[in-house]
Amino acid sequence: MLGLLAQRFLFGVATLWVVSVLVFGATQLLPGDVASEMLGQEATEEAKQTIRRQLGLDRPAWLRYGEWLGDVARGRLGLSLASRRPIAELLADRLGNTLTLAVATALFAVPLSVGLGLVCAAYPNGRLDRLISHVSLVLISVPDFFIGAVLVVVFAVSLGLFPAVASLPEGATAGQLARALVLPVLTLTAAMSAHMSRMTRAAVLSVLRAPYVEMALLTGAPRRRLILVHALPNALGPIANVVALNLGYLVTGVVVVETVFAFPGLGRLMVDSVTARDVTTVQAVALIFAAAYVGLNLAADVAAILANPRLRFPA
Amino acid sequence: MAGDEGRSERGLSRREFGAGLAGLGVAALMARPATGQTPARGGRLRVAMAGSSPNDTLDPHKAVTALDASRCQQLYSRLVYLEPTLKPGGELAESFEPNRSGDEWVFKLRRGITFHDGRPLTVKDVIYSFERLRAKETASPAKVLFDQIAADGLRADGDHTLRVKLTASNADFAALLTGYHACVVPDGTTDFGKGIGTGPFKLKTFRPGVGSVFERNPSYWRSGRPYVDEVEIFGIADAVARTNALMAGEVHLVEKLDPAAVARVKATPSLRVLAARSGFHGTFHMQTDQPPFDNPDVRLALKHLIDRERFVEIVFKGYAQVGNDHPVPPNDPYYCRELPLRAYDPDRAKALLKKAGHENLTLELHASTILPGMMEGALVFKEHAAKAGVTINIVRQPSDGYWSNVWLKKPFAVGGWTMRPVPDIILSQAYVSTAKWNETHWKRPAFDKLVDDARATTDQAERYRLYCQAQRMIHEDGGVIVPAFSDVLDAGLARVQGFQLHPVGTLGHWRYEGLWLSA
Repeated sequence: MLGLLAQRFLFGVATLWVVSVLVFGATQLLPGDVASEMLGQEATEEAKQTIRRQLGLDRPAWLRYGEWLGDVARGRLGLSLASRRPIAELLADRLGNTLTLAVATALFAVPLSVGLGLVCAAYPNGRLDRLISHVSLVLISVPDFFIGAVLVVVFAVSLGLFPAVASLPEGATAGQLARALVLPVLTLTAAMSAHMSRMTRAAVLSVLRAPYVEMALLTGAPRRRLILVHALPNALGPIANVVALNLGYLVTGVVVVETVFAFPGLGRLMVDSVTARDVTTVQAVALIFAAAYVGLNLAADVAAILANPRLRFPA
Repeated sequence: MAGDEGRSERGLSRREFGAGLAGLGVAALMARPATGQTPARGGRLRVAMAGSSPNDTLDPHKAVTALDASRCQQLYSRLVYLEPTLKPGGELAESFEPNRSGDEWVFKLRRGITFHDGRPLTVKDVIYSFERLRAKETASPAKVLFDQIAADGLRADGDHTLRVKLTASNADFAALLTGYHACVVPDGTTDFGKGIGTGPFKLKTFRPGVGSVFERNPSYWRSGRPYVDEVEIFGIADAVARTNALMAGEVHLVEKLDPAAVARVKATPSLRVLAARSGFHGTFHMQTDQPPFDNPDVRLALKHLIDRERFVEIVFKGYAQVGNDHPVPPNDPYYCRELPLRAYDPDRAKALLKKAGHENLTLELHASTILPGMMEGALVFKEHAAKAGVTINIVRQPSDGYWSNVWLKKPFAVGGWTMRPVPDIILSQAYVSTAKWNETHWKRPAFDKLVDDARATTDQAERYRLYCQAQRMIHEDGGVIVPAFSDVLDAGLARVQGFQLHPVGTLGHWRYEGLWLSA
């Protein structure tokens, strides 16, 4: 199993390298550069040239990429092209925010969706199953910014229960943080729980049709035991995968929700950096995004292996 | 300043400048004044700006966005400040005078002003700041303005007197120093991370792309001010989220209210709309050396094809002034009032196009949402122009990279300009033959001379006459269509007191030192 993990890890590193090449290439294709974006409408050619020279942008792209790769290999993310501040400093804040939101959402949404999926699987096509299915389908069909806006109008503007913006001043207390996170967490949960609960339901139901479950049924095991002890462990592989995908989305894809709640997370940093043509920051954030997906998928594989004796002890 | 009484009611001496403005309706711009109560002290003023960017900087000389400018306004001061009446008033300088020919200026600094770190302000700091602004290595967007200073033109006369020699006469030089780049930093500063200035607030925390907090500067030179203990400035990029944050009472002021949200804000008693007449204008510009725009009849025909009243109503929900195809707004004292407003006249346009041999003209207009209202504006234009058989196909361009890839490159496109304190800036930067951003490629030596003469003239009546002529030339022959000047439209909580609207910047030019919060 260790060999398998080592192999996966190496694949992961190779994936990150490919991503960095693709992202760097893509940023070179974008029209304009950091100098023209920095100076905006009233840029003069002279000022643009000065900035390019100061930032070393007048050198060939492959050389700049090579230097960047060398720095990253030694664990240095370097300076942001746009603000000339250390990228690590820029990221620390944002990564912390994004992880806080992702963990809070995961702690709430994952047990909720898996639980709902199990309830559905326990009573397939029952009234509860249909209710949960319909509600979750409606929620996944409505765009998340709309759900966010509705929650803000109801709970922040009309009722005043929770803050409308999750942009916290420095030195906010844990209580303030928790209150500020309620609406974003609810919005994200609404957007992602349908996916996870339906996958749980489908995976458990398909295992429930397997002959060994029928055997267990014949021994007189109650349905609850059938699902939790016999079916769930074998359904864990696909569930872990879909959970991993959704957690990846929480780290990388919540820019819309960040915008609605003015939450300073990584997604917005990525969008802002692309707009500013801040290539070094874009590269750093892209690496974090890719690493999150690679890491989560690796974790999902490990979970599947641990849950499945056949994978644990390959013949 | 020659006395110019009797010439015309518009002949304004320098001293009457502000008073005259009041008569021109600028006084109407002033928001409800503080109700005579004593300002309350304390509290944190929270301000949500419309954007944020990892480009955020505390270096005033390199500021680009309104967010940068709003931060610099708290930390730094300039020699001269632009009053809401568009009159330059002393800030760090207690007095400023040009010589008779307007090519040498003397600025006398106030005494006893200190930087946030305790150093006293002297002329050395001012000279360092101005030299840095015009140095090539700084790459400041304001370099062009400071290039007007002669090579060795900055001289200290004692610790508190600055003599500035210009390369040519400029009666507006003081007004140029009111721009937000012209902030004074301590002599020798190279690291701007601490934001050391002479402004009303000191830097407490700064997180680029997220927000910043400022605290009251107890030794600010204007005694008693500021009133609030802290100011927090951060970005909420989404217009709906900004309005929601205001309605929930979580922020005190929000920049750039969506015109569509005005009714909702007005209906809430605890909020108020902050609308100031301004000179911000989007342009539809035609390159006058490209067919069919090289034909003046085609240009004139297109200018007749926008119903401006409807344009203001539809695009800006009424929060704009009708434009007259030149860049000087009606709230500018130099706005040419003799020039009649251009009428919507499809029949005249048809006749002009027939004369030019361009009946059933089809055009491509490059537009983008980067300029507020100009995508909607392009659609309105398209519809109004269709009445004369002109087909305008709108090419939607992404706002990302618009300035570097589309603007100045396409023969028929949208552009936009913020309000400048004096007409000279926009005319020299975008309309004279040698202008860097001559959108229309319109080159008329007679026009260039008008602008040069007006710049060197200190007689206000004469200047008004020259600027009026310049506006008439652009209006009749130029390649620019200016349908409207949109207002600066922001919103705030009604409990924010002491707010003064300003035509040049959003949120009262970000001047928060006079604001206080009532219970």
